Amino acid sequence: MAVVTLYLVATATFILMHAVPGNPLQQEKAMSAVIRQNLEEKYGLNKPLLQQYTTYMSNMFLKADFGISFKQVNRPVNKIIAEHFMPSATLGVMALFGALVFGVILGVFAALNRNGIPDMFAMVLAVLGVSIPSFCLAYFLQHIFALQLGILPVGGWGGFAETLLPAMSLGMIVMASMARLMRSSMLEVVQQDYMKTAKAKGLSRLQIILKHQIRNAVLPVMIYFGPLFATITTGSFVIESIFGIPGLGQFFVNAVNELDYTVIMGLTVFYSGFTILIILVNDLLLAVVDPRIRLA
Amino acid sequence: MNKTAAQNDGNFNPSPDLFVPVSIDDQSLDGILGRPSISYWQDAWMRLRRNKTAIVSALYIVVLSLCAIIIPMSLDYSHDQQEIWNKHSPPSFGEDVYVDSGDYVFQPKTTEQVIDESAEAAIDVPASPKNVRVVGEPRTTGIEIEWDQVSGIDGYRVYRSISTDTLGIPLDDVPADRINYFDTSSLSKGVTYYYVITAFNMFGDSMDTEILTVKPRFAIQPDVARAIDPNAQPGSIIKTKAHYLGTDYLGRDMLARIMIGARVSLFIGFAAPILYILFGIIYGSVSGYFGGLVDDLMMRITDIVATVPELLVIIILQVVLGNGVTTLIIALVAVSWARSARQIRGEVLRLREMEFVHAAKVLGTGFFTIVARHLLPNVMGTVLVLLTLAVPSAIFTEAFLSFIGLGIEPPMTSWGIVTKEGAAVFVTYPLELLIPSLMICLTMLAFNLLGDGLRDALDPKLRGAK
Repeated sequence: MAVVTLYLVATATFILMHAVPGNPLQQEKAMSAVIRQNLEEKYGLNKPLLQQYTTYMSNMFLKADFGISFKQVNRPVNKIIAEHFMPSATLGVMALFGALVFGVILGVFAALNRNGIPDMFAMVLAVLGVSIPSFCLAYFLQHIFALQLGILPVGGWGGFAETLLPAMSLGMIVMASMARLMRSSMLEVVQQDYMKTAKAKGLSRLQIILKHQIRNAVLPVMIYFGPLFATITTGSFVIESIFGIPGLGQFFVNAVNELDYTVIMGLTVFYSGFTILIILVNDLLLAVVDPRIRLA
Repeated sequence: MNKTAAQNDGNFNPSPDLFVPVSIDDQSLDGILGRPSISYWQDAWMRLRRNKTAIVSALYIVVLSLCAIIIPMSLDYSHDQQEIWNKHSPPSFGEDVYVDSGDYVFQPKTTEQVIDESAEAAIDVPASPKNVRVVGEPRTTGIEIEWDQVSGIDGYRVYRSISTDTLGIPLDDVPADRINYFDTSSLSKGVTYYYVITAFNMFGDSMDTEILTVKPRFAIQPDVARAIDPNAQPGSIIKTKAHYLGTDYLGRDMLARIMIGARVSLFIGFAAPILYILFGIIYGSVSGYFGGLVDDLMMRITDIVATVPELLVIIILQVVLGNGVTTLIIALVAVSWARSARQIRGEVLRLREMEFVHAAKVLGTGFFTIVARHLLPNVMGTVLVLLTLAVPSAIFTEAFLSFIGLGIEPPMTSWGIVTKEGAAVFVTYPLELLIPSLMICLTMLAFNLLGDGLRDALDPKLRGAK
């Protein structure tokens, strides 16, 4: 199923890409007919579109070869992905799982102190979190933590400290919505009969909260988690450029602007594949948390 | 009393005189049901009214929309009118500004270059010029600096900085036979400048330089002044126009830019979601109503649309249609309709199995009538909530796209563009990022809170709950 989706995404991207007027060679300076002919031959642009399509698809799906970039001369797309994927992935995963952990904690914290000061504090934070664009937040965080307080680096990539600010800016929206979902889910679970049963059995408050309330409440939250991954990947380009992170985002935006066919295709398929993978992992996690779900 | 007895033997025959005819609007029934009989929408409206935050949010949205229409018309500025001499102005109601005479001509002061044998023989950097001083009154229209001559050098280099920590940028090189310099390059009011003049020869710049601290007076050229006040006389003091939120890096009024930006952002924010939800309703109800193979096929299409990268679609549309508000709306519709179609399809799928739909089908009602009379009114709640939550996300996307340079084209403005331009100068002029960010935040907040309020008000499960 996943492969079919990937194939269809690749086909749709291929069609969209070739629907744009121009081709990657045309945008360069005027070149002689011979050079153009040679270049077209090298990249296979002189062949009919259908043949280009079949060659490309078979290379991609059978040999996992995304071809070479048009603009970064002779650089294989596979290499671009291999070199620049780690920063993006680290950032995305840190942002998402940080958001999940802190969002759940915040939501639990708010629900347990319902209508109290902690609840109000957590919900104000959650509502503010969904209201501030990630790029604004990035600048504010950078200014406060890096320039004013000087406790975290302004940008760059390398150690753990560098990942904190970008992950925070990227994950804020997710964290805020997680916290809100978790809170309402917790409050819904409290009213269930099995909570009364647990209390009647004489379980301690901590046991009830950990084993019965949180475990049941986290399920609906997790269902929303997979699709949120898409939000993260779109936002990452700006965050990567603000903090100077050598991630994949910049390559994608530049490639689309320059109509670098192979890079667009490679990154699109790669991103989609990664998203599908994350959703799959999320489903597996869901099965771990909820024994009622049987893995087919 | 005898009713119970009659029921007990299982043969209850009600006599017609037990029944009393009532009309539909009989108010006496309200008491029997325990509360006044009101329609679903009346009930929702009542509950929404009780939700103070939602009402305040709705008011904010209305006021903002009105402001976006009225304020740009009442200002004597347009969003792209530049006052290049009044850049990065803080918020003000108009400032006093000195009108320059305009006839000042800078005279380069030359001296005889003395050949100093001892200096010529030196193999080190020269000494710094002494006694660096300002000539006349320093104004933002120009600052004249003079210094004592240093002999045996190749020239002087003028540096200007806005802090004492660094030397700043080299403004210009002055030939060795001149001892003064007139700086007119983009001087801002209220800023303290630190000038450093070094002498240099083949070994490099001199060390141990003097720092000249200058805070120029806010002044403008007479022809600029006449644009503000036709009767402005050179040498007099006039008042600049009011900039209630200050000006940006080109001296454009921030209030005008933010309000025009609000027009663009709100227009996109409303138009795009309305269009794609409308499309989603049509697509979703066809898919949900027919089910089976049609549903499968239509849903696979939305799957693919949802996974194709948004940026790719948007950029392609821009290449084909050109930059602008219309393109942005079409692009947003193109990438977002699939999600709303799925949600509405889910809702229709649920409603389709309801008894009243079956009843309608049995009565021979056609597809359009069922959808229009039975399904749509019941999905309206979902649609309304979807819409209020889609508006902030559309404004967000617009801001994001304009921020990375794929949205609105300058000089037209939007919140994304104002934010982007503010971000570039955030460290020195934080207000220029803070104000547009605050506007985006408040608007997002208002739509989110209103959406939450609507969802609570329209949820039948919460009916009667406080």
